[in-house]
Amino acid sequence: MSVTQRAPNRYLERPAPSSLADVIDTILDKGLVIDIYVRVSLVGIEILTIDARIVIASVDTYLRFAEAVNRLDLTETETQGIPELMEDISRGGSKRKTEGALEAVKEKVADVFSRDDEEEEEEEEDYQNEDEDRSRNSGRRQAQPAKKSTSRPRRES
Amino acid sequence: MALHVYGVVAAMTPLPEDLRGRQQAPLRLIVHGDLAAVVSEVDANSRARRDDLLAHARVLETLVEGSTVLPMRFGVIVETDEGVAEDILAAGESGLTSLLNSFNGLVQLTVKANHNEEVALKDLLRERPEIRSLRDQTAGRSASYQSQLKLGEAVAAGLEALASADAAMLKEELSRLAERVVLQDVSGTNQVLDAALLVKREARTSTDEGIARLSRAVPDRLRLRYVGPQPPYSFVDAELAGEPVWA
Repeated sequence: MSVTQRAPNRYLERPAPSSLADVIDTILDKGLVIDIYVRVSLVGIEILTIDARIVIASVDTYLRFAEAVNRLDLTETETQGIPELMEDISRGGSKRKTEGALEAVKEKVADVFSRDDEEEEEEEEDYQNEDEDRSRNSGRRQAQPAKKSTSRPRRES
Repeated sequence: MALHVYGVVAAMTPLPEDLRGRQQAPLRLIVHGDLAAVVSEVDANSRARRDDLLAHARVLETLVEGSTVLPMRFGVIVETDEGVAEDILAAGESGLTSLLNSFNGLVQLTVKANHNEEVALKDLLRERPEIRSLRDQTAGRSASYQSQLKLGEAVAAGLEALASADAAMLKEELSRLAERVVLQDVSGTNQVLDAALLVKREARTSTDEGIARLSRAVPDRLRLRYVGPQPPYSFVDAELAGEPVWA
């Protein structure tokens, strides 16, 4: 039993390479920048960073939580004191499902596109699909208006 | 054609032969003094696809396995070799050199933690009798809208408190495994922690073991993700925020 208990964490024996989501969190947001050259690159590429936020302190969220705790099995909650036992229930779901329920408030969705629309259909679709995936998973997330991320001024020059 | 700049390394850094950049273009170094920029040719007008983002990360992550790398943010495109040598390497020489020295032998590892909501809710009910009793009062269909809201609000606050406590615990544990730890913003439901660890390359094995131990030891409501090795993205950022490297 303990083997399956820990299965979701087995990959932690070694770190994994960055996924697309990790990449968006890091390389679009961190690292050395030289303002003048970022501007050059932006001639062809526009990078949009969208802060998609779940509004935590909202009626919708409160109602969702109320419903969620009401659904929990009371007997089980009261009688089983060992956290591990509780886990059995949630183990059934796929990783995907679990992660779907586990949405972060601040998730950066970067949409990267050029102003040149030629040959871009395919990618457009790719990003769209991803966006759909995200919103499907996000429950009651409300996206705020996209804001353009320009290069952060690093210094006064 | 133009040059996509991946990062800055020491001039003598070997490039793995099979390593390719954006659009499978070969990588090369543009050297100035003791510094070199890692670049590949790219169509100046080409658009950045997800593969381009991943290629940028892959190049840096591969290089950092064996060398000290200062990562550029994605999107730095320079027209010519001379532009790279002069405007990046020469202009930033002293700052880049001192950054390279300060990150010598160090890599970044990232640990992210989320709550499994269902498990976290159960823990919350178990540990907080007042929330449990609120829940018991709203169990039936007759429960008022107001009491549902009150319950939900208590649960939301409880989950946040649980996440804060878990984040503090994790940070303390992670601090024992790293030279430095920087916490990056998390601000929401179920998201607990996003920590960048600066670790000695040669200590990687013991760090891996430490993270594995930690992931087995934490409460089941916590899900950890472990990413790396990466160039010191988060720490270069911190350095630059404090002290601009070049003018």
